[in-house]
Amino acid sequence: MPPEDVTIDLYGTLAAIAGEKRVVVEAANLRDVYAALKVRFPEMAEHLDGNVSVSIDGRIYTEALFEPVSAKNEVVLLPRISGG
Amino acid sequence: MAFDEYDSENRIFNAVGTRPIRPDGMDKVTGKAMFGADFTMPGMLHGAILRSPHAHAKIVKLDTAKAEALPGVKSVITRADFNDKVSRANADVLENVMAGEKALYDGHAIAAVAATSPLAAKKALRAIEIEYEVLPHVTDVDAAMVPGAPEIRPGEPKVEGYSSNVMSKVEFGHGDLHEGFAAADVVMEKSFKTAATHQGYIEPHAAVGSLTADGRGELWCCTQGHFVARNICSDLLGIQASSLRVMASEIGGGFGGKTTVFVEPVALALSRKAGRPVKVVMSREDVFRATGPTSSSSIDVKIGMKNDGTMTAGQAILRMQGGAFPGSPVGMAAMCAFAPYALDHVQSVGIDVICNRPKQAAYRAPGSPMACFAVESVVDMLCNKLELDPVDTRLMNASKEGTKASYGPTWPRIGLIETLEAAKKSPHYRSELKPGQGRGVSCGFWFNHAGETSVTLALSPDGTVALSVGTPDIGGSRASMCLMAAEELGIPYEKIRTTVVDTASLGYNDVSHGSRVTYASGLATIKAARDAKKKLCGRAAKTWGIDEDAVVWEDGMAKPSGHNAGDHEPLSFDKLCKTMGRTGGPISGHFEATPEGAGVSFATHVVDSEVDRETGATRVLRYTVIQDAGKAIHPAYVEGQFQGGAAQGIGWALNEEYIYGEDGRLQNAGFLDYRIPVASDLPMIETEIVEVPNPGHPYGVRGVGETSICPPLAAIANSVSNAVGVRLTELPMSPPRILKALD
Repeated sequence: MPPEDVTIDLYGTLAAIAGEKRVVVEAANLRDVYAALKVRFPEMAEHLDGNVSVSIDGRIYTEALFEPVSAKNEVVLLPRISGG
Repeated sequence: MAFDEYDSENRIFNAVGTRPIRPDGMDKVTGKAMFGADFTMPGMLHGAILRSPHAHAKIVKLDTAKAEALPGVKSVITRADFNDKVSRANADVLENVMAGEKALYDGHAIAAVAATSPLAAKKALRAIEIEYEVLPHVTDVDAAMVPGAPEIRPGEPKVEGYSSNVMSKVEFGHGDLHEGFAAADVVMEKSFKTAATHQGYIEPHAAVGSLTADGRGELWCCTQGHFVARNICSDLLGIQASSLRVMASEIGGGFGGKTTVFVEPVALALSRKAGRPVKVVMSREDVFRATGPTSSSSIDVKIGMKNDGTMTAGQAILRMQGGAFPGSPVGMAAMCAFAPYALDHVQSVGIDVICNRPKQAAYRAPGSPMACFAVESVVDMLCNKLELDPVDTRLMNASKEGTKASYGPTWPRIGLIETLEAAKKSPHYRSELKPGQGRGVSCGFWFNHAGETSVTLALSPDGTVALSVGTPDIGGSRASMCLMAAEELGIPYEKIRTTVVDTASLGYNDVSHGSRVTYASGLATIKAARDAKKKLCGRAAKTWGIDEDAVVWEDGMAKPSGHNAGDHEPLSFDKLCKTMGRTGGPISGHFEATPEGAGVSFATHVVDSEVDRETGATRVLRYTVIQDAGKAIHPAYVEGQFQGGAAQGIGWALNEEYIYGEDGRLQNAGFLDYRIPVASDLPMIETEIVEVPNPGHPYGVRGVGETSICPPLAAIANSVSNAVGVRLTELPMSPPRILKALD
């Protein structure tokens, strides 16, 4: 699937780094999303490498670099979710 | 149905949804089950750990020579015996397992001894020469944040305006708070505090480690995740992960507290130095002082509401301490705080704080119960002020499919409204209260986690199945796995045995946490069974000389299907298993992946209570849990999870708390002084299972293990506050605290 412009909602810590709550990156999957964000906001790297979960259309993913994303998806980056 | 098709909405179940006797029940009630401390080995030594008596102190001198010289002592270890190149991810774990330059809390491990008897090991601890330089300490979350507070990790402040003990700040929300509050008829604002509580598992941590000088070893321990224990221990000891084989014992409770390591690497390090196996078993006092309780918290909540009950805005500022290490669950607390409500204007802020207490560990829905307590208390206050029904008000504002969650995403299909509607119709909610009694209602929310998962399902020639999983059974999951395998294969439950196998026998598995096991290992079991069915159909196709595509699996049998399949007698599971050695060899089904698609879960709790105004003691009179399980695989276990969460919540709300003295030492490190509820404290907890299928699981499963502890703190606080006519804002609502409030 060719990359598309995907809108990414950022939670507070990442939004503070980016200076905005919402950014658009060109991506075909989550790996592309993370790579694009790291290039644009190098300070995000330590958060994006294993410390985030992501909601795609309300479904939460934690380890899914190759999960496809497109311009039609709602993509929200969240702190990594774990449990007890 | 195709082999990889999902149909959680319309499937008619045979095995799933029944209530067979648990396969591990007999061993547990007859004392045959092997728990962590039950394991022994020939030549085994006994380990003991020296712990700091100070809340915060620099270790000036540490000399183990005299201890090493004592009869029976085979090894003494300090921090120097661990990997000095440990990964960044496990650096704090190592610092917690064995102190480096400073003792960071009362009970922090300083050194350890292995000897031929427990008595010799304890005697040797007294021979270790140690000198401390005592440093100023802080144990309260609010006090630790103030500039000028004793610094645990001295340095520049990371968050402006606070001391260096504030590690990070996170924020969620959307809309415009000013606009939202301006639209309200009433704005209610209140501050709350909750004490740190322990998971209170009955079985203390225990491990037997055997590690040779060449870095190969075995570890037996009670854990929620032996694969993770293997990875952490191998990192802390500087050995290869696959050189260490870890076996999980039966577990006497974990609730999140056994998702990391404490004594396991100590037993291995002692063993490596002594050349013999070493057992380390924590005392109850050690468990309280040195393993992770949950965070204590301090929370401010502000909510705006119209006279008709419409919520216009919500704001929560949450502060949580995670002990002497960053990582309190305040981020997840902030995400959960307003999750039950569809708000146009909402903000939740989480502040992570460190202080001189043991490193917090996960405790069932980490962070959510405290956030829920604060928010749901304010919702109750607003309902009282505006004379609104608490269930109707929550229904009016409830999150549902298509509304935007306070933490960002748009909700997929969720079952909150269904739980509220069930609460409204319940006999409990429709019953009358007597004078002096109070009723409390609360909603609660928790995520589910998926995680890396491997399963192998091996068929035997006699038509039975050996199902191997790598997720320790902390809530009856072996029975649930058997049910899902039976459902998928179309064979009786009794023909399947599920075993939690060691780390050398299966691919990697994440820990049993995040309400994930029935979801993720269940999905893996279903997929492994489908893999096996496909192979069985292949064998039938070969036997009949037809294409594999012309064979289907129905009712536990391979059947020819389609116009050109021919007329063949169906081949049963038993027959195919019996002949598999001659039709191509052994058959096993596999699944190794990270299933994604875990579904969140909501609950609504209703509580009645009354308070003895002379003693301040609270009696919980009636308690009802209503929760969305997606699909209850084994309803009795689902109900058990509901009841267990409520019982722990009752303890948290009414009595449990870590009490520190002015010297920073824990004052109540035992079950006599730290009061968990016993059976006589509890009513029969009524349950109702709501089933709104999770589209991300073949059978619709949502995890149920954690959500049940989210509403109790608030539901009980609302009930008690309504019973006495005074708002209780600090947990636990112990008798002295209630008497003070009534004064």
